[in-house]
Amino acid sequence: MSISIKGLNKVYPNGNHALKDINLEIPTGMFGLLGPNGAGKSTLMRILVALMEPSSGEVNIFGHDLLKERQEIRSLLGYLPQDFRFFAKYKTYEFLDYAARLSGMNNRRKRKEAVDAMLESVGLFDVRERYANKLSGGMKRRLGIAQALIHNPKVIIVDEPTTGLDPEERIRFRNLLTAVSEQDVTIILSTHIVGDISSSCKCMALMNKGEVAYYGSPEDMLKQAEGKVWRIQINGDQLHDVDKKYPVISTIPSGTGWEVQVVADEIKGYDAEPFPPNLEHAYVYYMESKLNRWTND
Amino acid sequence: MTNFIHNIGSVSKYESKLLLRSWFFKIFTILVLFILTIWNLAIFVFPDGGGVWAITAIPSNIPYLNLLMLNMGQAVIAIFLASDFLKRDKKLDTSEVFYVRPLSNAEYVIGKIWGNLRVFLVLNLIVMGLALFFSFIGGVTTDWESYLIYFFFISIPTLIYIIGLSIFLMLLLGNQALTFILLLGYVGLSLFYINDKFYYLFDYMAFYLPLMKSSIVGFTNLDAILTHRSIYLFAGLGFICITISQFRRLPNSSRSHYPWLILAALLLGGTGYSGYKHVQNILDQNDIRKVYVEINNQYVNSPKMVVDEYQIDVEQHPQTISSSVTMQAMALEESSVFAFCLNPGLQVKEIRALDQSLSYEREEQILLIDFGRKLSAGEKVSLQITYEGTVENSFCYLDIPEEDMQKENRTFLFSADKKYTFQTPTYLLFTPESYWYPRPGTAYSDQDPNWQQSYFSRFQLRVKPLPGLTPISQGAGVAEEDGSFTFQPEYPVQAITLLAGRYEQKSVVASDSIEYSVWHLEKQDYFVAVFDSIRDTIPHLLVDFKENMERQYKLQYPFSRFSLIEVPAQFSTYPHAWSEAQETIHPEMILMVEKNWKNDSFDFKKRVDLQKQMAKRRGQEINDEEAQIRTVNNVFYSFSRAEGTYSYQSSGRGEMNITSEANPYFLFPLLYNFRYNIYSPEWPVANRLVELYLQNKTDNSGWEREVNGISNNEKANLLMEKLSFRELLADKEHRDLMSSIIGLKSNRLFAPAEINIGIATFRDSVYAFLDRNMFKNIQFESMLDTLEQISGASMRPHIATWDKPTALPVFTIVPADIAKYSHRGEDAFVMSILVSNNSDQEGIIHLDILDNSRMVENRDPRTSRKIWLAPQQTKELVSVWEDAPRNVTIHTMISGNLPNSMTQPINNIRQERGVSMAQEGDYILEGGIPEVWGEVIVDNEDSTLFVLSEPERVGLLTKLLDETEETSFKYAGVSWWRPPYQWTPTTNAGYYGKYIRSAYIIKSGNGNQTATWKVPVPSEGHYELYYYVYRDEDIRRGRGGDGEYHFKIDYDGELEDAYLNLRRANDGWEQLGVYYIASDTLKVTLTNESRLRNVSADAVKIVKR
Repeated sequence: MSISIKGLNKVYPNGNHALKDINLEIPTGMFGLLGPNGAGKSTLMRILVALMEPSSGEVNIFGHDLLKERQEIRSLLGYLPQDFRFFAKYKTYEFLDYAARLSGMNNRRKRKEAVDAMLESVGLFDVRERYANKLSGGMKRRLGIAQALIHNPKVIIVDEPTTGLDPEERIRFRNLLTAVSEQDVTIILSTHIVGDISSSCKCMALMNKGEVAYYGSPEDMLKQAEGKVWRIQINGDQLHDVDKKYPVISTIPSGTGWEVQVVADEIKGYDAEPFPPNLEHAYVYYMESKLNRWTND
Repeated sequence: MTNFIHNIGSVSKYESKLLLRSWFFKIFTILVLFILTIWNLAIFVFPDGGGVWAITAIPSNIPYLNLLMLNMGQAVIAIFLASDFLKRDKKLDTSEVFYVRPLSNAEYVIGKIWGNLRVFLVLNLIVMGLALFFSFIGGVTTDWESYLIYFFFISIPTLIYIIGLSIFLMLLLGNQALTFILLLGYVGLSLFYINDKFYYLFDYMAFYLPLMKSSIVGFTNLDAILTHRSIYLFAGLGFICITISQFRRLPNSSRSHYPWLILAALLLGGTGYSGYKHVQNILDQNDIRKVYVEINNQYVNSPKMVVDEYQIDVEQHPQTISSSVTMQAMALEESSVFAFCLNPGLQVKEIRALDQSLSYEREEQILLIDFGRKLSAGEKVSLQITYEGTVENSFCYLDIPEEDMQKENRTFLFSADKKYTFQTPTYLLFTPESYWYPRPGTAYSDQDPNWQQSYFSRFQLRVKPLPGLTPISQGAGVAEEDGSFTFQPEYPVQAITLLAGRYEQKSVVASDSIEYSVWHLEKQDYFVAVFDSIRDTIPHLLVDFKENMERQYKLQYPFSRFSLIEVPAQFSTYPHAWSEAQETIHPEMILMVEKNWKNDSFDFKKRVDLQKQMAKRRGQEINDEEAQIRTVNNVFYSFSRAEGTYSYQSSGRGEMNITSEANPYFLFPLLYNFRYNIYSPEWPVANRLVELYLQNKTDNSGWEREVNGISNNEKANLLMEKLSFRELLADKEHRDLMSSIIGLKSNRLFAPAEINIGIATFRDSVYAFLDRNMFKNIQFESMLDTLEQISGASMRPHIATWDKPTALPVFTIVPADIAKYSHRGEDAFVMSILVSNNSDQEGIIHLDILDNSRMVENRDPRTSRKIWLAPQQTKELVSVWEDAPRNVTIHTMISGNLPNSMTQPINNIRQERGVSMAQEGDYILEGGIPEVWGEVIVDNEDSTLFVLSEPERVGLLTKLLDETEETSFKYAGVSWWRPPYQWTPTTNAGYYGKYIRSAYIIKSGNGNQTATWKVPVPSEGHYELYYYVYRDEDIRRGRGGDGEYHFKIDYDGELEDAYLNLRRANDGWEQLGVYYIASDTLKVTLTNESRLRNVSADAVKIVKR
């Protein structure tokens, strides 16, 4: 295992118990950390990148103790924080060069090559002279990933990278991460968007209220939801009733009525047919049935 | 280590980029460079004939000035930018990605600070380059070294400190706005309020710290400067270390902040130690001075000798001098042990008399020589003292209070150290103040004036300086083969001075056979080229100037040489209470600081241009020669003034004070002090009494009095009422008034003789007496005896009153009445003046009449005379003149009158016909000055009938900023362009007053502030009501339009308004109206409602119809 977390707790000074006894083993490859907003994902990420101290517990990254050997761990890491919008007055290539310098890339020529190559690979080479603040949201996020990758880190931690991106940028970003994950690195991808995870993660965890609710492969999670997803054809008057009774995933108008997808162990009183689940269905099913957390409000 | 430097380099590179890209910094830089360029252009390229001489006189002042100016602005900007990076890190979510890099907190913080600092340092270098460039263009010599030195003394510690402090505060407070405001307040406080207080301890910017570098001796206070600057350098580094240890990012290892905390503690400890050392060094000096005075007190009455002849043989070594002094001395009383005084830094090796070694004791400066047998009074001995060492600077000026010694030596923005002696391998300066050779008795004692005895002695001096140095002393220096020089002044002197340096002499023997020399240090002959075309005229100008001064003071210049000698910029002197002569003036020589850097009239090149410009403005065209001659004469003027620099102070809102310091280059002592020596064991001030009497100084009754609201003589009078003359002489608090006090006393002392035989005659007899005793020691008491015999007046008994406070007489003076009588085609003018002494003390007034005679010599003795008035006596002074006198001035001398001198121009001359003419004479009038029937006057000095309103509340800030200092004098100067918020009393001859011509002044307002006169009404009837008008500068200049005073007249239960248009009014009584009054009181209230800038409350009068 590349990262091992044992009994990790974080209590904020205001009493908020953000992480409760987290135990996780994270293997090489892409690791998805899924969970609703406020589940404690970002806190965990910030602890992993040594921006924050845990209240208790142990973290070991590639054999280094996070509490004692921060310098070594910092040299292994690449990090893209959740909020990545406001830059000091640096040009795009300067930002990347600054990050590279601080990661110990002392050779000027090699650094320049690396920066140019990285700018090329994230598609920012043409705008390298532009001030980073003037980049679009997607470009900023790409610059973010570029700075996280510039020094070829062994562990890459990306916190909610696709929030606020348009679909095209999101797909582009996913592909970029997937490509990186094919090298021998560990990527921890924290997200509340199920779609970010499905394709590339071999292993994932679901976090809820500061705890790990699920740990395993996405396929296993999918399996648990098999036979629990239904498609119902209803008319407009029934929609309200269905919405009250079951977690509704999608509502599509069809002819005179509606085609509604819901997650439930069984459906009573409606003509329902089973439907093959995807990860999103599994996530909803998991939140509903295991954690009783789902609401349609 | 490479990583450490690499990381710091990376962070600083990008931090610098940010700083350079910030608009704030760009605007600041452009502004600074623009201002300094204009400034330097004005100084070097386009001089308009004015400018500050200090800037170019001392080449090192150019970087000094530029860096001081830059640092003022830099301090503010650095605060903002330094505190900015912490704020920025917090605000910008992208900075976290740098926090997760493997660099340490120290690397990050140091990198950030270095990034800021190096940009500022480059700016400093640019500014220095600018200064260098312009000084090249201006043709000023460059002091290369000083650029580097000031960069390290001013910029580096200031920047590190202010940056360290601001990031530390930012870390502590977490709020940039608060940090910025706090620090801005701190900068302001230290710059404008604390400034040089507490021995410059809080002057982090080195704005006040004496930092001037002499071109001759460099810095004289290098230790003090280094200690002071290390306070701030250490503090800045300490704050940076604290910031590193407390930086809000998890450190690379959990204990890595400890070393920084320890380092911070060490550095702040260093700050504390440097601060302590800085203050302690100054306090130690003060303490040792007290010890010296104590020791003088202890030995002040020890048996003394007088020395008739000195033979001094002195050799200069790099750090020390060695000297052997042979004295022909005479015992003043019978004893075997006699006291001598020698600078405590000089160690005595041996004392011999007639081949016999004498035993002696030494306690600091005191040398007690035991002759082994009793010497009888008057017995003469020869003795030789051998000594060596380094002269101790702190031994000088034991009589000067600590505050005066600490006062900064500042001109414009340049602050120089104060030194009284110099002893470096390339320069020597020993004045008598340093006791560089043994002199009989002790130095200054604050308990017994007996310490002070100066005698004329003959001197022979042999000096062997270090190679390359030329010594200067009294007498012509004769070079010997062994590299030594001998000096033997042709006349006896009280003390001798020694200088040695790389001196060059420019000299000329003028028609009066006097050798006039300028001794300048090498490369300092900037004046030669300027006056090239009047080279042959200068000797004539010198002789003219000398003869003018001789005529003015009726005293002869007694020496055959006159030398103006350049000394280092830090050389400082203080006026002693007992003499006009400061240590700048010595027999046949004047010591003048480097190019006289404080005096703009020594910027000869610019002055010559200015003369041409001024002439052009007056429509004249003058040639170079004429401009140069005028410039030289202006320079001479600075040697003939008694007053030197003036300084303004404002003690509170609207209150003004101007003080003048004695001019250290005033040449009078050359005519008097080194020629005559009047001594008195009882009254050491004797010489000064005669000196001031002969100077015949008028009181500062002109513009200076106008500004201050009271003159120095008047202040002196008020002090004399409280303290005796003896007490005042010892009073350090009023040292600035000392010459006024002594001057008044000497005028009073000699007044009886002047009354008896006339002022001019008496003065002539004083001069004659002095001339008979040139270069002799004159006993004051026997001089008075002689003068009493000559004048037939009694003066010595008056001295007995000097131990008691003086009860001040007060005089009422009725302005002169002048009438023209024509008889058989001839006119005669009869002037009558009424003077009444309204006190129980006798008093003397001085009457000065300006008549039409042009001749200064042989003036009519009646034009200047003194008149004695018995207690409660009134005199009518009648005099008859062929031509009408132009004006009359009456000085009330020692009296309670304010002002104590009044000048009345004569313009209303009555024409009398057929009435018999009054006879000339002083007539005693019984019954005093007749009162005018039916007239009642209430003045602002009346404590029962004149009432002022309560002062208005003012804001706290105004109060703080305008805090009034308590002074012992009631009356203050009032500035008419910025009048006070509260009724403030001031005096002026233009105001009404029986003895004190005063009024209360206030800034105009909404009418809330009032002054009320309650006039008693003698009987029912019609009364004319008058107000006494004095039109001040503001009204004369026509500001405020038709400004009116608003009065409220309250009588018989009625309230009427009355207005007085000040613009149209005349000075004196102006009618407000006519009222029928039945009750016994008339209340007149003046409000401060007016369009004029201020309102003054003086006096009202009612006259029955």
